[in-house]
Amino acid sequence: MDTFIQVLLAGTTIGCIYALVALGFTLTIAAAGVVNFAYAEWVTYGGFFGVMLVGMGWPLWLALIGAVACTMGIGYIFQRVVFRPLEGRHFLTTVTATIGVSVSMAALAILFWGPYPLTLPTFFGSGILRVGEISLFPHNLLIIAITAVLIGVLHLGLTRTTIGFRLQATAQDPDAARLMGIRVRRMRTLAYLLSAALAGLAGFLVAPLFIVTTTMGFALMLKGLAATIVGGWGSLKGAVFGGLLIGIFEALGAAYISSEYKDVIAFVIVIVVLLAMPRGLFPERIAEKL
Amino acid sequence: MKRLKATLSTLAISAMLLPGLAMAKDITLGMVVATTGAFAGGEAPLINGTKMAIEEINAAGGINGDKLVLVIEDTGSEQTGAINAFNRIVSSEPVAIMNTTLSGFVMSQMAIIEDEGIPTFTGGASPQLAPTAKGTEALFRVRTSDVIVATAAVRFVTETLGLEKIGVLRLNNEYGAGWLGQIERYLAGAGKPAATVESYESIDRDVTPQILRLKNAGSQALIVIGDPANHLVIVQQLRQLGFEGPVVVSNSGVLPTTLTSYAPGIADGIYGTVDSLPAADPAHAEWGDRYRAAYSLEPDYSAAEYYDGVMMLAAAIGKVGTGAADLVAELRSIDGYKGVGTTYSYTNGGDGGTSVVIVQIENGKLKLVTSID
Repeated sequence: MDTFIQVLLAGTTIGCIYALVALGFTLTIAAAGVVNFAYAEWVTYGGFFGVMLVGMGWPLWLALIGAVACTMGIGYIFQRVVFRPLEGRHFLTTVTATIGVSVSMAALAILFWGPYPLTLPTFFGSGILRVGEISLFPHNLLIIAITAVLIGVLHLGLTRTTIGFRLQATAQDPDAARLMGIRVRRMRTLAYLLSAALAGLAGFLVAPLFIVTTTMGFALMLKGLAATIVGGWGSLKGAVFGGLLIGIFEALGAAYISSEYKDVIAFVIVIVVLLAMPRGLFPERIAEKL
Repeated sequence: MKRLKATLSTLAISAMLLPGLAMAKDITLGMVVATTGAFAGGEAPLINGTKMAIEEINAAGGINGDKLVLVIEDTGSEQTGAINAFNRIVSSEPVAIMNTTLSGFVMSQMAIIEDEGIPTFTGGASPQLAPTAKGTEALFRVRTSDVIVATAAVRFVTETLGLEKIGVLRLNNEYGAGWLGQIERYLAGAGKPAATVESYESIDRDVTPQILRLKNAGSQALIVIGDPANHLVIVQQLRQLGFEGPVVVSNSGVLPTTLTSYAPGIADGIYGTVDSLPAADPAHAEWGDRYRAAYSLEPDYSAAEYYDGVMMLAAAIGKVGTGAADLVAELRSIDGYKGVGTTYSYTNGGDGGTSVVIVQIENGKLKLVTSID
């Protein structure tokens, strides 16, 4: 039982990280119809900014805010330089551009921060809480708590505020939203900024667990993409459930079946869900548009 | 008039010097390593070691007056990149190539290495690269083979530490498989219990399930095989999950660049395998000081071995010239060359390096524990 709880906790932590990544990934799909493959680098940069700011002597909490702000800056630049000029072009044109941005950002990261793995301390040092035979890592609990709060805030923001309604309207039908007086471009900019903020946050939070390397975000984006597909293309709720599902089943599979087939298990889940529900757990109209 | 005289004098002196200058030529040494991507950090010391040797040789007047010039191509830390980089470097007509340490990448270049016949040095440690396995005549290993290193790790646990229930946490690739095969062969041959084995992927950053399975199986000691970033994560999680037995990490877990990245104190007590510990060897103290001064890094065996590779090559060029076939034959005759990194033999099926030492991390630095013969 202790092993089960320990593995469940580890799976939930990883699942929360996948959920955060999938949420940010889904925001640009839903609001702008853009599958942003540079998202992996946004997450990586969140970690690198954190390491850089802490290295400059900033306290961790300030470095967290700084890393999120810097990543939002990248999101804004990306939106102005890549997305806007390509607005209205074919879906694949934009996807290809995001891949190009991703490759360039990875190369720039090596130039700025060098090729060696970097580390970031946690808010709680290396302290461990022990409950019986179970080890609780304060940083993991923080990740779970922050993810839960963020999902709640994002849900309330999208369903209870005017800006949230405008964002939803933009995602569902940009033309109709424009006719209703919603400034669609501004809403899309907001979606990019939110997406980048989530990437920066995810990158900063996973840095102490994952070690900051130029490939840190790639693995997360792969699983985030899988979570997006399982949850339902463009569904924010689906992104959260998809992330948690993959994280938990992956950990349980590795613990109780075989670590050799951990990734196979995760992708079997994707296949099974898609066979049973081709549009994912929480289908959205956006999926039909892409 | 004065200016005209000065110009004519300069021209006359240049004309006298020209024949001499024309005789000296550059000798291109190619290098195929990762300067970007996941393996760039791990391969940076190889570039340092190579550059250090070249600078020394050139500062001493070159090889018979000819200067070595290094040309580097980036693998991008990818297999296809490694093949493309090798092809690009071949087109620059190098006298020899200092190749990547990633055995899988070298395997994919093997046909080109064989076709071109250019002496190629690699720090790849896979048993598959041996001349008696899938290696080729022109491929020279500047490293101790994993056949020896993995066996040394398991012998250290069983013979020196006296433990029998061994857990193996290995990277799910050619490197991890090579180590595992050797560990299993040794245990079977010595009549010891089989190891409990768990694996992970290079991009995995949570190995809680694997560690718990190893703990629950009663593993007394662990042998961990991985890349630098894997080691950083695994050592941290082993501590968090309270694994208290001895842990032996593969070479990349105790590279200087990895040591600086462990959280303070977390890796103390961890054992590691290296071909040698140049920093602790009084015979190479001066070399170590120069390396530290040049690269602001602790000297490690991988930098030392690429340094040795260039030195062996320079000696061979000095003796037989730059013809590829002659160089290969000359290098194949090396028997017991004592370098900074290890002692090398290539004659009679020799497979490069021969030494392994076990080190332990203490206050973030490496301490020599024992040599395994």
